[in-house]
Amino acid sequence: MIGRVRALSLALAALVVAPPSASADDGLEDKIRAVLPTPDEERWAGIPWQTNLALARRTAQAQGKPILVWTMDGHVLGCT
Amino acid sequence: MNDADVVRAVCKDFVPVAANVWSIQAGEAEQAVWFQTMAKRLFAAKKLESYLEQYPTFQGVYVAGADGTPYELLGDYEPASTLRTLAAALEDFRNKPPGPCVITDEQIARAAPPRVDPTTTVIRLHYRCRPLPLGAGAINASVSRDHLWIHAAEVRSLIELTAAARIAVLPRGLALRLCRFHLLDNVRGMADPFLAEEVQRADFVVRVLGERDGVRRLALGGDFRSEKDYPGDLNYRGKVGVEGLVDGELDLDLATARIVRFRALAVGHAWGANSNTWGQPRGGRFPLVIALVDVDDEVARTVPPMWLGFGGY
Repeated sequence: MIGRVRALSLALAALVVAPPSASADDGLEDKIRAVLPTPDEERWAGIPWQTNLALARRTAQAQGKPILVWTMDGHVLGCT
Repeated sequence: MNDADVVRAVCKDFVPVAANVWSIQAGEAEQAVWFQTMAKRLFAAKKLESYLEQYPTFQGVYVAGADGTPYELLGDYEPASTLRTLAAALEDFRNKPPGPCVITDEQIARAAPPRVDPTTTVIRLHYRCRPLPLGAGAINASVSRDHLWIHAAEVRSLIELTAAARIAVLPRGLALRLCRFHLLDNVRGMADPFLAEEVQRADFVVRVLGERDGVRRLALGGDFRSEKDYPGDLNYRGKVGVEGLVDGELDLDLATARIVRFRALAVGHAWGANSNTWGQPRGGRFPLVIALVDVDDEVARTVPPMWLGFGGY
């Protein structure tokens, strides 16, 4: 019982004296970066996708180009 | 659509549009009617009406003129056949150009996607199955994404809670929303969300790490488990669930009540096959990692969370 109280006190003391702006996990950014898409995995995201179909139609007309519409269950640029 | 040659062709010769099929394959909004008319003409031209009867969805990749003249519908997403179809569409477009049409500023304004409230923080989530189990199908090597919204009121609540105590429980609404709609096995596509009663653990705690220049840094820790089981479902394939731990940090700007930095990682396991995400690794449980990062680009402000509008979001 005394041991558990001491352990809790030490844990609380550590919280109080933590320096400002300290990070809890210096490796967090690296771990997150490892999960994010690589440039090769996100080539499709570099296409200048429009999300306003009317604006795309006007642009296509002005540029003399056809429209390519990619539409899926869920937004293509989000979760699909 | 990720092949370098396809990307190059699309950028050079087309005006590309991305959309959620739910917003354009039904309804009477002007641009939805334009799309439906064009898509039906393409399906008829390709004699695919029976396909539509069996799979009533207009998901796909279309090439059309601004006036709605239909040119091509991609049959598959293999790079070689995609390039051939795009080339054929381009030739067709040049041989039979579309007619003129008027698109007014008002139509453009009406068609603009809604933008998220500027006070809302947008978190982008990326999902992977890692480490990839031996023998897992290629689709399990995918990386997918979604957006999470954290509302200003929830941020203000966090500021108040952590002003009063160095350790605080994440607001329940946010914790449940995270578990129901975002801590999912989205790796192979859009997973089904959980009902509130299917969330068995949604324990998230924040701890104050420090404060400087009006910014309070919090550590975030969490423990989650959700599972659904519908044995009466016609397509029942067993229980579907996720569980894991979350570690992260967030910075709160106390003056503006905004989250100015959010980094978190969920590491755990998933099991079962969702309605649209079969093909999971065999053997029961498989790894799931989810990265959560704050974003503020145009996609973040205009593409909502997958399950926005679904009960409880």
